[in-house]
Amino acid sequence: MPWDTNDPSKNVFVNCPFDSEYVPLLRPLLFTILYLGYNPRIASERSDSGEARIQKICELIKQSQMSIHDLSRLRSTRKNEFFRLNMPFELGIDIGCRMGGESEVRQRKCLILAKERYSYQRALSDLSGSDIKAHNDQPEEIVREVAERCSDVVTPK
Amino acid sequence: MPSPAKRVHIISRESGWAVKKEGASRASRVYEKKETAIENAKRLQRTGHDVVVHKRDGSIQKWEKSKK
Repeated sequence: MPWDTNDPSKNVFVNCPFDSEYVPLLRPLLFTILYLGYNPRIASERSDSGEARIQKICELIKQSQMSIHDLSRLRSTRKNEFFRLNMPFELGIDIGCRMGGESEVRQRKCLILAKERYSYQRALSDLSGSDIKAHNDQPEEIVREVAERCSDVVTPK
Repeated sequence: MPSPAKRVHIISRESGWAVKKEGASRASRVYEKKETAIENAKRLQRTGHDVVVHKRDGSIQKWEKSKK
């Protein structure tokens, strides 16, 4: 990895789909994090068959002061296609870590993204009342939300 | 408290290249050529906007800081 990930205050855990349909949003998302001087941490950053994926994800969450969870692909788009559970599952791990962790862990920030405002509530009503941001599948809107949240956490370089 | 960063995006549209201020619901204008869109967006650079140029697939080609 070309950057130093030892400083948790600079690490941003990214929980999003990694399929080709999401690439037009993933690239600007990662670019924005890097541009603002942070380190994106994603589950696919290293590959080790001996390491359980769930352990890797928990480790990345613990090492990051901020996290971004994109729930925009919760919904299946084709007949007989399963809907996607990894993203809400990892969001749950992150929230669980925060609630059960030390005070510094509780101060961590997260950004939850959805495609449209309120649509996620049909699948995940427990998040009602949370501040969820919509990107409408538009790259410029994902840049805005990520940049605003990163600027909230620490002054950009 | 410093004012929040302002950004203008150059993004691909079916009819050409749009110049869109971040947060606006619609593009300011759509140009046939990307170069023309960048040229016009750069005027906003002098009013405190960062210029973010996207490729056709949405990824970021260039992010230029404001010149204010």
